[in-house]
Amino acid sequence: MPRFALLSALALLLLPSAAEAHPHVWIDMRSSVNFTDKGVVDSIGVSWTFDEFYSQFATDGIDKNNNKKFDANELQDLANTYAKNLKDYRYFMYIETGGKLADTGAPTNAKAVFDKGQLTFVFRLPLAKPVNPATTKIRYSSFDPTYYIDIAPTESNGVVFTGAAPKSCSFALRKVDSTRAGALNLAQSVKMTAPTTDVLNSTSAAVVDITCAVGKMP
Amino acid sequence: MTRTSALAVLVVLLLASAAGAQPLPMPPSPGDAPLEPSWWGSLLAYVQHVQGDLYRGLAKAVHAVKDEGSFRAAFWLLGLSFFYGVVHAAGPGHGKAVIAAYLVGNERAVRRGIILSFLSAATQGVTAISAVGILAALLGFISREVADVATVLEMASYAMIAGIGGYLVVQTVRSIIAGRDTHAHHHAHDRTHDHDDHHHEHEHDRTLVAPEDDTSWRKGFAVVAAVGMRPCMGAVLVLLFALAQGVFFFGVLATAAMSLGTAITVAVLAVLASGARNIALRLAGTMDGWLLWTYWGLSLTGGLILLIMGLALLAAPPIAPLPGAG
Repeated sequence: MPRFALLSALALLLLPSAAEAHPHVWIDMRSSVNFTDKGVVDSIGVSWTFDEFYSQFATDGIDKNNNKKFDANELQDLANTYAKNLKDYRYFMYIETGGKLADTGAPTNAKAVFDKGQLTFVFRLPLAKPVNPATTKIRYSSFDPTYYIDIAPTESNGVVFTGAAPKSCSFALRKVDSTRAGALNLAQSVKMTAPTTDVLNSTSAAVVDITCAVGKMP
Repeated sequence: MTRTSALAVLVVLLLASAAGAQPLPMPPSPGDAPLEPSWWGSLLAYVQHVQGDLYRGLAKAVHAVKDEGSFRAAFWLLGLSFFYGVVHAAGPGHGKAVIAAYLVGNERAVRRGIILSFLSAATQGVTAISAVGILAALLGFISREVADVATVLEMASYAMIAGIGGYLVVQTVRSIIAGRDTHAHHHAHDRTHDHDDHHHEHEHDRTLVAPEDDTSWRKGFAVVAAVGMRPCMGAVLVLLFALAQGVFFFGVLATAAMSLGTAITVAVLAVLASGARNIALRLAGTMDGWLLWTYWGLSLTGGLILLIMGLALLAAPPIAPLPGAG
């Protein structure tokens, strides 16, 4: 049997590496946690700024009227395409409420901006069921399970609260976690359509945790 | 044999790590106990971090070349590209696994492993330059269309990898059958058979001399073609960017520098793969009779891995979810 063992070991070890798990697109991300007047979180706002190479790639050919610049409607077409196409990828957004992966609606307010050679795609992802963070823990992360795209929060102001956020609420940003070996490929194990319930604990991507101190509700 | 296998598995483990394979998945630790940072995880994270910085730096360097047009700017671009190639290739892909599997199964000479690594990296660079140069620069394809063509090339590459694997498996099985026949007939094998009959010679002189004949070189070139047919998306993106900035020529130079960097990383792995194989065979060589079986085992393994890998890659959903690229 040793030969068989050798063979299996080889095959097992080499196969995962066969997948192209290294990034070719880099995204700087900002996100906002949007509170309603009643202090309930109803959506997460997302802003992705792409690296210059991908920005050039993505905008190549969108200048339909050939006026050498990207008009508002040309950029809007691109934003709408993204909003539509990213559905199958869960918009690369993994939101957990009460420890379970939450359903979201279709993105709203999708918009694309092109500035200084970089494309930024902005959208708002509504929670199917708005959540009161005082009673239900909310966490989220944005990453590409195939790690073709590297998504990381910007150094400053990566996360903001908007709307009537109760004073007791705060967020903690867990940075990219190098303690998780294979992190960077880890996400490969997350199935895009049927993710496990523990996605955010197993990912090495940056995770935003929202907590509101108990008993200090306004 | 047990010792040999154990050693071979160990070396292969190291190899696979070098190839960027993820360590075996670990169950999540109970509770919130902080995990000890593993050196491998930290290294990977660091490499990815450096890679991201280098990539962003590359865009700035292309701008600098365009705006300043100075030697300094060009030199900076080439230097960054080179290091980007070294680091980028440290991740999975770039045919490292393919070359390693091929070498473990079929190659004895370290020198040839290095040559194959450089050739495959160079071919990848040439493919990227040709794809962008011909399709985008000459024929006016937009970026997305170039990427579509790259996807087709990718599929062809995977099919070829599976094909090479299948060929190696069939060839090894035939050698095994022929070898047993030969044994029964007192080595009365026909030298005019050309299907790598050199295995039989090991029975005579107990040395492993795989003659560097045309057949092995042809197999090596097939591997180079299979790997190199698939352009590196990183290089394609840089070339398209340089083209859009009007400095395509510098994009070509940057790609060449990137390929050189990639080649060095892949060559290191090739040396490890050849070394692993040679050590395994040498150990096996001290045990009568098992030498040939180890040789065949390794050949079969290499072939099977290529076959499985090629098929798995073909069957996998297209990996490039470039948002909106469709």
